[in-house]
Amino acid sequence: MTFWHVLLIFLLGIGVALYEAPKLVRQKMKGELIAFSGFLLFGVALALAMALGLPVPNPTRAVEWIFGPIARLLYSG
Amino acid sequence: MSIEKGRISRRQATFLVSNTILASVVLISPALLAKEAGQDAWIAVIIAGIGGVLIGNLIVSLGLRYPNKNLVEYSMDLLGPWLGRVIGVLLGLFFLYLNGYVIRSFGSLLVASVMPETPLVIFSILIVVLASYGVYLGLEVFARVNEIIFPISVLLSLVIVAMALPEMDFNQLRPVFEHSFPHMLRGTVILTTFYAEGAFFSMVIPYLRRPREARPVVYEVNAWLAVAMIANIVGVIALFGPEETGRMIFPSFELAKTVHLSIFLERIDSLVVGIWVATVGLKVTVLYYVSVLTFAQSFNLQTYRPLVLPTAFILAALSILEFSDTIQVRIFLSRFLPPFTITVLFGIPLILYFIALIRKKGVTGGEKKNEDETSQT
Repeated sequence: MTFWHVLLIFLLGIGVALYEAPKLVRQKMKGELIAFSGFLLFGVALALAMALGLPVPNPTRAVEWIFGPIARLLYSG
Repeated sequence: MSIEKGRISRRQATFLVSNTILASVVLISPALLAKEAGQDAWIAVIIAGIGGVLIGNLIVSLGLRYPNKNLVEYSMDLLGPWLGRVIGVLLGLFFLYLNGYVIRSFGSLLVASVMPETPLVIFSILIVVLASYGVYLGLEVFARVNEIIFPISVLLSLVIVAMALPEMDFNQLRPVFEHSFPHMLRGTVILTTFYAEGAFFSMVIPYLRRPREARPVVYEVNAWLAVAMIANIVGVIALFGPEETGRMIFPSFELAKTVHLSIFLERIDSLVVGIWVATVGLKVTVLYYVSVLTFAQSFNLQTYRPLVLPTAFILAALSILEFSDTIQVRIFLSRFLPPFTITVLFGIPLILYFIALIRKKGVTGGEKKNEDETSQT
């Protein structure tokens, strides 16, 4: 099962790259191309890590850690 | 040159902001409110309206100092290009995160109520693909779609509440003011959190056809919210009672389940799910659009479109990653989300507004000046 998920994410990532990148190269939008590649690499890496069950840092933990003291203060009673 | 070329009317803006707030408020908040404020939840709705007006006026006062710039553009002007970009990226990340919980609660409701066998991730992917298409088409397109869907959804919700009237017992709303003020205030804070999500409006003000109309939009939005929320919360509490409502996950959905017109009309809950799919779909689209626009503006891009499809991967992954189960979503929404949202969506505009006042930046008579500009063009 995992193999198919990984394959699907790869194919989707390649599909998105093939759809967007040529347009950006043709229009010589360098900044856009860099931002696009960065976002795509991050997104595919995140999706792959989750499909493979790797430990991914959870942003909710950070939010709970930062706002925990205020939350406890508000909801103590 | 601005990234977004579409322009929206005052009514489209009102409906867009109202829909974005109502989509999560109607289904999620009655249970949280009833848990904190019991049968006095409707009073919490009224107090939250005051909070909503305050936040809205702050956003508009700030926005009208720069009638042709969005939040990221004027924070670059106020704080310098680099600090302004940092604010932009932080806001973009915040809206991505916020969208994660919206997509998650969408999936949770569908799994819990309609399709229990389907994995959550399927719903996440479907809604993200749908929303990315909307974002790709641009602000004007989904604002127009919303102009059709929003009035229908509000009307249908009110009709459904009205159809449940025969089963309601309004004595459940008594005694009034039984709960202590701090408890009521907690309910208010939770609701204000959802109202604060409307602060994405600061990214859209310059794309109004006449930006000075942003202030009436705030009051119109609050009127829509007050009507829809009070009808909803009073209906739910009169039907189930405050304790029962507090224990439910989606009380408005349970309300729809009880509705039937003798034997002709039953299972209205599927209609509610339909409305919810449409309104949440639009909410996801709006938040998605705002985060992508914020990123594009921060990175100084000419268009936000290249970022749309890659962000779909991030959103779908985030919605699964953020929470382990529905109960955790609920605890997070009532405990940690209020301070988080209010810090980001109220704190950042407040600081920017003070800096604008101190440095005397922007146009002070922005509302009048802009009127002249539009009359010339």
